[in-house]
Amino acid sequence: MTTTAETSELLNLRSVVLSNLQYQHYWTDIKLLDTQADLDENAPTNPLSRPMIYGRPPEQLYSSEPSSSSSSSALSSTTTPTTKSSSSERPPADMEYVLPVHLTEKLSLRAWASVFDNLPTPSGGDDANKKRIVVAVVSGDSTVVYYIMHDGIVKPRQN
Amino acid sequence: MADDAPKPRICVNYVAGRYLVYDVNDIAYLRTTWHMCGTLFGTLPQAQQQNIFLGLPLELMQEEARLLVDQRVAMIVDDSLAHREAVKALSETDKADILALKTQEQDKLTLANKEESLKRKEAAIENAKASGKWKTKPAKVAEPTPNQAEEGSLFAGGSDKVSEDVGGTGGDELVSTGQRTSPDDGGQRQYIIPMASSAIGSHSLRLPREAEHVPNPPDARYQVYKYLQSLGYFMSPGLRFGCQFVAYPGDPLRFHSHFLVKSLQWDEELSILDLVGGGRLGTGVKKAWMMAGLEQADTAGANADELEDPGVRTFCIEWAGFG
Repeated sequence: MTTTAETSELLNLRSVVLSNLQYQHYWTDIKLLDTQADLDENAPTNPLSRPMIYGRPPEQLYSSEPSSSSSSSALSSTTTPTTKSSSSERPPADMEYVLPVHLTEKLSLRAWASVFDNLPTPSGGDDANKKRIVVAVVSGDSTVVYYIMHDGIVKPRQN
Repeated sequence: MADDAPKPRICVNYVAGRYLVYDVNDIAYLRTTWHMCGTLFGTLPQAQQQNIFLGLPLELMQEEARLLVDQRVAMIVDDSLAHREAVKALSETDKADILALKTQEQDKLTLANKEESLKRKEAAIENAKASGKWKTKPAKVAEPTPNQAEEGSLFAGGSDKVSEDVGGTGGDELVSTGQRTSPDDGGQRQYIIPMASSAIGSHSLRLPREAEHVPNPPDARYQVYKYLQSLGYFMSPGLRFGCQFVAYPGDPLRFHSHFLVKSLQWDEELSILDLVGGGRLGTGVKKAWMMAGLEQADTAGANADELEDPGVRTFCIEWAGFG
């Protein structure tokens, strides 16, 4: 579907995001996703419509809150960056899927839906069938901003 | 509101392109049963800037009006037509009866006013006597009549307009009879602008008949509205947050809103900058920005238009907390 020129553009975009995640935001366990087989071993090796990144942020990015006690801890861990002391006790943060996009792009709901439809359904948890991605928006001066996008209705973290 | 009997359909009045509800019971019903709050925008007619809280009528969004019509909960009534038809349906005796009723009310009011001013006068005299100033100005207190008469003529001047509004097309006749039946003390009368104009006495001034007009909001918006409403969300206009709807998880009196909703067609392209703007604004006010639309089958599929269950799909966006 995509031409080779577009593909190489998307790959360049990803390399910008990759180095930003690695060296500015200290993500670890980073893996590049190019085909459906990279997402799911049993899937065919069809190329993804857009290349993605799979990696682990230094701190938990988002917690679905099954109980009230964990909701408060989720809030503090995401909003206050000064809670690094107990990092050894806490379990490692969840792995996240990152989708690099350029600021000048225009995407339809169909395009967003196809990104989510390729992702495996997360196992466990109350919001088990709620998928999420991190959208990495790259601008011309290589500034990268990150947004969490959920598939479906998910209550905002701070509310 | 009887529990067993089927509720008669609510009148949603169509006035100059807006959908208005006048009845406070209907408004309570819409809020509790249909999760519709609408927007109150009525002011005091004499002092628009003196009230902080607005009152009746309640304005509904296009989507709300449409949903109520689709669910057969409400019917759209063309407001001006409803009044015009009712006035046409009145007979001469009805009109005379209405006029008599109004005159009676006005006379009652005049009497009450007279009594009150008499009392005030007496009180003023008492006061003056008590403070010892009575001797110096008896004339002033005793002659407030020219003043009053002037007031009376002021009201009489405005009287034509008032009766014309009530009378509608048959107004001229009403006015002329009015002048004939109030010969001498008509100048003293105060004209009453009725609060509820749906009836005077037993005479209805509105014939609520279903209008042919059907609210027709853009389809993407309506589908998204209907979907979130069916999940129990209270939706309100999104102007304050630069979106189409603000979605509350319960009554807005109890909850903060959760989502700033933007509806899109399935293949409508949205610039990434809009997504960033929405996400950043939403996170700034502790909400999430939501884009939603009715899912369509892949056009690659042979029977694209025979999609079995076209549901609304939603995506919620928040700032990730870094970058």
